[in-house]
Amino acid sequence: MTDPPRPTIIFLARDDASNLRDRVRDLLARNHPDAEITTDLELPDLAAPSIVVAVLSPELHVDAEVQSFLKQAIDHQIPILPVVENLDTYDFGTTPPTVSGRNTKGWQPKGGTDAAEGADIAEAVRIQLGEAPAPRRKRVFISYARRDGSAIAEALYEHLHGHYYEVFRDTETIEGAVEVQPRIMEEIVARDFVLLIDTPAARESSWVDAEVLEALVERVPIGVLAVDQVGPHRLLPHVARLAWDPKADDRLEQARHFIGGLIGAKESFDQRFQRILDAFAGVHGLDAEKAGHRLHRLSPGGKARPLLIEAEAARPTLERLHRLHKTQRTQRRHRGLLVSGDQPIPPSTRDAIDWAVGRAPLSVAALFETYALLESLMDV
Amino acid sequence: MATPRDLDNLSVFLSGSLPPNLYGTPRALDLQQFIVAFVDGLLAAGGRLVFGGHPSLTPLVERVARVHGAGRVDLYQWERFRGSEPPEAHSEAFNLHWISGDDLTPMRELMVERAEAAVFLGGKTADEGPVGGKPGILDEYERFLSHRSTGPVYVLGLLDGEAARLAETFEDHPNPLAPAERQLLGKTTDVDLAASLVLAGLRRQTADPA
Repeated sequence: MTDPPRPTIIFLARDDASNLRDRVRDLLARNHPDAEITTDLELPDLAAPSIVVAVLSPELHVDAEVQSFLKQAIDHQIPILPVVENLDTYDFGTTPPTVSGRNTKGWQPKGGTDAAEGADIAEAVRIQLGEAPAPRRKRVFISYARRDGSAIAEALYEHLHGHYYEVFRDTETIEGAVEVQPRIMEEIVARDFVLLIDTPAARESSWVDAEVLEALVERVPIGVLAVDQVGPHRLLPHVARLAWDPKADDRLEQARHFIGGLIGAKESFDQRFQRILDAFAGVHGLDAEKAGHRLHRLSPGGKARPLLIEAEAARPTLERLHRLHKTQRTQRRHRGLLVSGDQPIPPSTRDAIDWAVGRAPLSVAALFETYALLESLMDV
Repeated sequence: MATPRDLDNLSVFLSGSLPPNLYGTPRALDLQQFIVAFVDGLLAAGGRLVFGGHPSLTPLVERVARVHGAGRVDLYQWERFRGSEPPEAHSEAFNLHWISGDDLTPMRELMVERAEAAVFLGGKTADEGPVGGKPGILDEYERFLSHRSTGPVYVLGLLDGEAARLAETFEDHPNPLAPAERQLLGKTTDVDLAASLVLAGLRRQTADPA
């Protein structure tokens, strides 16, 4: 196995911010000794994890070469991290469009926090280089029948929202006049967890049925809050459930811990993909290696063509296909495989993929199709 | 290219249920997750499904199958339960077969006769079922092999239960998977790896029917 490609940090700063420039450069060198830190205005190896770190200053804003390079970086989807001394005092009025819409990080910790100087910048770089997970709130969808589940849904919404969950409840989250059902289905797809409030009305509701089925097909973990002893819901007879005790003082905390435990029980997409790749490579005696951020290479040896695989828990899009196509073209003789999430790919999307790919040596598979497709692509 | 549609209408019997030791655990969803992954992968690749209806699973199979067109799934229902079947059983996605009989034997016979491959997972063990009764998974496994002694059969350890017990003798199950893959199929608790291995075996079967 060969070593994975070195991460690249393209560091942009001008003399009018020399003090901050030196501190940020030292921070990057200290935290990323294996990375190539360069000031050259050249695109990095697109198969390697990379980031542009730009120390904002008036000279940088008007430097035509820098701005031209930043536009190229945007075209190639290379992350750009603008940094400043202090977010609260920096004058963002003159920042050019290349950086103005991006989440800037400050050297000074945000007001009210006791983080170390430079910590926010360090964390952002680690996340973009794939060395740390991106923190975000867990997203929960509450499925219930309004007739007898509204009070519990409302109490849970308030409680979870106050404990750093992003909660979807139809009456709170959907704007007026929006067509509700399509929006609800979109929301389920984007959630980490669906909680069914299992009441008599929920068991008779075709809407609740549709929401549960959508969650199952989209592979979103589900738990049941059993409000009475009559259930269970017909679609979820043996799924993990918590009995709701309206007299218990800690009933909301119990529900929160129940939800948190079930979210945590699901293995990440990356772990599951890696297991399939390792199993395939092991059985067939192939070399599998990391080839960059979310990129893997499977090498058969001999004259057969290597395979470049991009695996991410996200739907197959034209943008993802195009990105893989561009990367694959920079790698001699490689074919490309895009592994989308663990959800089924609808037939209409499969047809669109076939149309978009044409004769390019690119394939797309859902996670559960990967082993079988690898077999035909690697001709083993 | 998305997945090749090369299973050429191969009919696959799916026999599975959740054993009691997984009730109420995070793994309880693995049965539904496997159904979504396997049924979609099978139908997308041009295969067909044969299965016996269950009120909690028929709606999910219908939801997965309906986007793949009408009549790709043979759904068998026991006549005794006519009238209490879920409404989804009458979907265009299914060829619905009502089977009469004093017990499930005639229905099981017809399902295994129709299928060209079989997948087994979970199911109650002899200790968990009726006293003296044969586990349903074991009964269907034996019936399938009595019709097709060369299989292929895919026995999964995914959900524990009777299928996991059967999978302990992975060398004995006829299918096109390599020994290391059969062993993996018998042990893995990873839904996507299990579905992926079965789909790989089915493709080998259609590529080389001998």
